This record gives sequence, structure tokens and C-alpha cells, in this order.
Amino acid sequence: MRSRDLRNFDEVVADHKDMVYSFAYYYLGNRQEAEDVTQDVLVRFWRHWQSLEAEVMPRWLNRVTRNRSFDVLRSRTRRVRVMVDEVDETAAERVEATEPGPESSAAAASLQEVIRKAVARLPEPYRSAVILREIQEHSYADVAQTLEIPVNTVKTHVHRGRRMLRAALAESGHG
Amino acid sequence: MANTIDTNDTNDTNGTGTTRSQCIDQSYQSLSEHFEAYVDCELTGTEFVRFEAHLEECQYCERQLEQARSVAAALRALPSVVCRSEVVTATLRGIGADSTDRVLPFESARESGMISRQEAASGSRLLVWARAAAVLLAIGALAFAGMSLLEGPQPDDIAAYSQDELIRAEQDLRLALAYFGGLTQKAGLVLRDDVLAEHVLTPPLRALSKISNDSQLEYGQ
Repeated sequence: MRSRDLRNFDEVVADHKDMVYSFAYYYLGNRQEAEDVTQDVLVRFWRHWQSLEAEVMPRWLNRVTRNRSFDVLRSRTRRVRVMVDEVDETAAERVEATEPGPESSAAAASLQEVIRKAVARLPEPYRSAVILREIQEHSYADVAQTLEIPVNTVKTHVHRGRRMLRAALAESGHG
Repeated sequence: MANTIDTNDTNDTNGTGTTRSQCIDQSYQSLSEHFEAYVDCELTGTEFVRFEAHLEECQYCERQLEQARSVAAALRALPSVVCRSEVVTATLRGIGADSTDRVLPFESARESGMISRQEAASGSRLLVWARAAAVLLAIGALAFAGMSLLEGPQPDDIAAYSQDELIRAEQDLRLALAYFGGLTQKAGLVLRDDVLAEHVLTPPLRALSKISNDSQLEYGQ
């Protein structure tokens, strides 16, 4: 492989790695598993990237990331592992630092933590739709192409997912 | 999945013990679909007018709307998470796609944790098959050469070989076969030495021996 191609691959990975990791992180609610999924997706991307047009790369990556995350979730269930809602104490290290403002109060942080955990507990297909549309802020059209469903169905999934989060928020006392 | 949010709306409380039955509209269920669409400004004109009129009268739904807004805002405010650079660097190095052009064998990459076990196993299998194919090709070429010898040397050819050359050829052949034997083992192929000897080593040796004898006869004449 020519070195120019390698540099291109490096650049493409640099552009998309956080999108891959972010989806896996919010989907699985676990940093280590998200890193494993990211590595796995990048290895698969390496095998296919030369056959992918630039404009379909984000969609391809999102789809593969979602499938791999789902596989991890399924294997987690198979192992009948006790799921503990771990408090990710070191999450701050992985999170882009932002200047503390009014929204960064303890209450807002607590609300975000409740939401983050609730997202990772949403059933499919609502979880993927909410992460792609509401957290990663992809367009409805992009989400529809990634999930291979009509745009109106995406909207319905997103709204229902948020409704479930609303109920979860109320249950947690943040209502 | 056990640890997922209940999709039923029957536990829809506002955290203070009040329930949806406190909504003044008997058709709450249809309204409950509207909060998120209202926040996203996606209600149709008729739905919008009807829903706003209801909100004027129903405090319960007004609180629900505030919650819907809170959820939407909280989701958008979730921090951007970034992947550790070490994860990407190790992955690129593992697949040989880093800028140093260094390609690690899959076994090494797996041991160093650069790639997952499944990927490494898949890569190892590919390497094994590649090696096996190379070995089989080499054996095929060797057998073809042996068969050419078996076709029988022409009288003119015999005269062209000295005794030393024939002995050296036999030694080279044995060395080459020992090398291929080692390769097959590395490739994970279980080819027994006696099988190799019978089908690959013996025929050309027999041909060499025949050439040698004929040559001796010729030289002896």
C-alpha cells in the first residue's frame, strides 16, 4: 500500500474515531467496551475503506458501530452478567473539558448522569435513534439511512425514546 | 433485556405521586404522543392549536411539557466524548496502517492487545492459508520437475551430467524437501515425512539414481 493511502486512512480515522467511540459509549454505557468496539470497527474499516466512497463512510461507520455495539450487548446478556450501573468516576478524563458555566452545576451534572444511564437502558430501536439524532445530532435523513428505516419512523422512534427518558427522569425524582 | 426501560406508559408519574389520570383530558394517551413533537415544532397546525389550548387548562400536561423540554435539552447537553489516542494508535499499528508502515504479525498484535482475539484469529487463519498455498505450489513445482526427470533422460542429456553434479543434485533435492517439510509444519499442515518421501522425494531420487546408473554405464563403456 502506498504511503499516501496510509496517510489518508490516518486522516479519515482521525475525523471519525470520536463519532464511533461516542456512539458505542452512549450505547453501552461502558468505556472499556466502547474502546473495544472502536478498535474492532476501525479494523473492519481498514479492510473496506478503499472500496467506500467518502460520502458513505460516516453512514457505514455508524451502521457497523451500531451492529458491533449490539453484538456486545447481546453477548453481555448471554453471559448473564450482572449489570451494574457503574459510576464512571474517570469519565471526566474522557470528556472534552468545558469551562464551568451555569449548566455545569451539580444539579445539571446529576441530570446528565441520569440521562446518560437512562439512554444506555433504552430498548432498541429507540436507543440507536436517540443517540444518532439527539446526542450525535445527525440529520433525520442520515439516521434513516443508517438504520435503514423511513424518516417518519425515525421521528417516531426518537420521540418515543425521549418519552421513555421523560418517564425515567420522573422516576428518578428529576421530574 | 432485563435492564431496559419499561416501554409501557403505565408508570408515567411526575415524581410527586401524581398520575396521568390527573390530566383533565380523557384522551391523554393521544396527547402523550404530542409533547416531544411539540418541543421539536413538528405538530401539524390543527394538532398545535388543540395542544396549546389544552396546555392552557391542564397544569399536569404543562409539567409534562417542561420535562419533555428538560430531556431534549439534557440530551443535547451531554458531553462530547473523545476516544483515547492510545486506542487509535494501537489499532492502526496492529493493522499496519500507522504512518511508520510497520506491519506486525497478527500473533504479536494479539499478544500486545492491539487487536481483538477474533481479529487476530481471523488474521492467523489467513496467514496459515497463505503459507499453505505457497507450500503446495512449491511442492507442485518440485513434483513437476521430478516428473520431468521420470520421463527418462535422453542419451545426450546423460552424457551432459558428471557424477559430482548428480550427487550434488541429490543433496540439493534432499535439502529442498527438508525445507519444504519445515514450511508445511509452520503452515500448520500435518504432512507426515513418510508421505512426503513417498510422493515427493522418492520419484525424483529414483530418476536421479536411474540417470546415475545410466551415466555410469555410459562412462564405463
